[in-house]
Amino acid sequence: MEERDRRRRSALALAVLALLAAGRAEAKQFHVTSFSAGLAYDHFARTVAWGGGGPSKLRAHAFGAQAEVGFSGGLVFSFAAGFSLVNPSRLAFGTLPISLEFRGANMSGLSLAAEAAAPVKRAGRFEIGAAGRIVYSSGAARSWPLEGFAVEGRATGRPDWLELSAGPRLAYLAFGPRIVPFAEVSARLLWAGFRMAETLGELGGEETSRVRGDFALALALGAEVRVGGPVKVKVKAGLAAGGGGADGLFSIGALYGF
Amino acid sequence: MTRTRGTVVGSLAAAAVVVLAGCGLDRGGAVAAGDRPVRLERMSETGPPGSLGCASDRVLVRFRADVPDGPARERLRAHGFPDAHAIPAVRVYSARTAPGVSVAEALTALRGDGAVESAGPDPRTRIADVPNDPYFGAYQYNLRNLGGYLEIGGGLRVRLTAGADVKAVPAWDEVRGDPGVVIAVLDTGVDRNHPDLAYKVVGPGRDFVNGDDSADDDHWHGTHVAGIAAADTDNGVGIAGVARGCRVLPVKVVDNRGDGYYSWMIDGIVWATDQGAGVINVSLGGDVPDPYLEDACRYARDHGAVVVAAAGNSGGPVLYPAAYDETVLAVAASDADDAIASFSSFGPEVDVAAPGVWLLGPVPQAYVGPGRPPYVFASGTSAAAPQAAGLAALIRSLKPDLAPEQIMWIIRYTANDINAASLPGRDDRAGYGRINMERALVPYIIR
Repeated sequence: MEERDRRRRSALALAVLALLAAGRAEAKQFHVTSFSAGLAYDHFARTVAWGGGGPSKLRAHAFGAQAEVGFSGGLVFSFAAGFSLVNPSRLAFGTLPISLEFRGANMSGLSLAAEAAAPVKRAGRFEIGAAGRIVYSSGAARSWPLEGFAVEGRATGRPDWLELSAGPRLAYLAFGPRIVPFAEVSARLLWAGFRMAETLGELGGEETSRVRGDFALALALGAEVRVGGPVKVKVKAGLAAGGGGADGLFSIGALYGF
Repeated sequence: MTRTRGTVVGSLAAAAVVVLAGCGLDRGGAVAAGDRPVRLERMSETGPPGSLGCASDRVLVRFRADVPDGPARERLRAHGFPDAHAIPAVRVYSARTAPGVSVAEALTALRGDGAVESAGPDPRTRIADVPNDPYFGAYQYNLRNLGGYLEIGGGLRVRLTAGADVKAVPAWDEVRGDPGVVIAVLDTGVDRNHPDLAYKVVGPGRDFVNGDDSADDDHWHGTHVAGIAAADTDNGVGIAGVARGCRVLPVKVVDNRGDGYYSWMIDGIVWATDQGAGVINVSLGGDVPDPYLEDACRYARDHGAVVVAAAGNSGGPVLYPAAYDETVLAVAASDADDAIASFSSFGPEVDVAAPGVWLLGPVPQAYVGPGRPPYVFASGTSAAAPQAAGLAALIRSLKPDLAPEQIMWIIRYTANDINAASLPGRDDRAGYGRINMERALVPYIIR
């Protein structure tokens, strides 16, 4: 429990840092300096324990359109919306009339994301900043037939997840604006729910398995590269370590500046 | 089942009884009505008994000896196995297939790779955990039927069809029964000193025949029924019970001849319900409907108890209380070949069947006499019902919040339609079919 509280406090501290940074930048001025739009892809894997059960892997992908608005002072807000694909595995639904074990399948859905990033301090060729992000995915329901019983039945599952992440970012500015590599440390909190409904003749039931605020600390390396004219590519890859072990994360986006 | 007097209960559902004796088994006396020939000629086509099949998402791969680990892993990644696990001592990689890729597809691709020496599916295993009760393996075909013959003794030998059983062993991997879930056995009483029941009986029970608080068994039937439902299991003694972790509440509602009155049964059902019994087994019944008996069954259901009753052994209409369709689960008898026993009563009220021909169960020592193992083979729906009652107790152990009706539907829907060839779907002889503990208790896999 203490370990859990410690992690929560760390996450809170990182989030506060990110928000303060954003607030400080915002307090200076508030003029739009840039607008860009494009496509983005995000992936993360996470070892979680659904409903307190054994560890299982949750793999999530999000692909969609992204818009980014830059403000004077360096504050950047971005928004993304698109499709998501999530593959949770090894979920047990033991209170349904007929117990079900979900061994994993791709589940589609819609995702929404918002991110804020702001510089805090510049020191020589380095710039320390902070970033915070929230991603929500609402899964579409998917059904499977329940076969081998005396009557026809169906199981219908629907996953949702929400991830909050925040932390400092260290950018290296020596290469000029064309290439800006960065390292990012973030606290990541994940909430997820998988609702399973079952109907079999006269029997029916619904059970939701949850992940409640699973914590992981992630280290990612990335770069923002202006590949020519108004086109900018942002790429990031890293590892997230949590109670369930180390997992990977990756994101890439291409934006066109207007 | 025993016939009755007036509005009497009867039907201690024993079609025939054989005493188990030492190493050999000799025939004992037949009891009660309904003794009819049992068909045992057909053999089954089912596959190897106990076969567990193979994983649907794993394969085992061996590369040629001259392929080092690095290239081997690269080839596995190229084939869509990102997380292969090496077992170098036997030159094998265990790999999980990518989502959406079947084992057959994966194996086809691997076997077409010149660097792969061999590739095959990953067979499933299970802990070799069967009860150590000495009669389990040889005599309790109803729980695990591996085929062969049931040597009853006295020259009686019954052919067994592999798989014609209630699938107890895989179900026990999921749940063995909560000691807090009590099966009330409304019968001739229970021998509380029997080595297979002494630690399973929750107390002296209640005797509505003699009006006292000691439901001892002065017959044999109640002890036999209680043992089938919940005999002490893995204790190195005798037999295994279906609800091996649950306990038994003895309620005596028929006398030492197997006769009784509806009033005793009504009293017994209400008393057992008030004692908190989760399941009430009634391996007896009468010919005539009675509103008070029906009310007692409704009282039990409304207070959370699942009532399970023997359909009857007359080959005629289903007896009461089994015939109360909404409140009681009526159980017919099947045999070691998954055929419905000829003596089993039938009608639209039959819900399910369970093996009820030559079932081994405990009896009081006094019944078999000194020096003989206190166990007998008996046939009848009386022996079938406690298996369904045991299954109900296991479901209740696993899912205590389910209502009695839900438990009854689970037992019905998960049954094997054993006479589907002639009577597909629910029918009046087997109901929904022979109960299947594995299907009722082991999670259904979705992928």
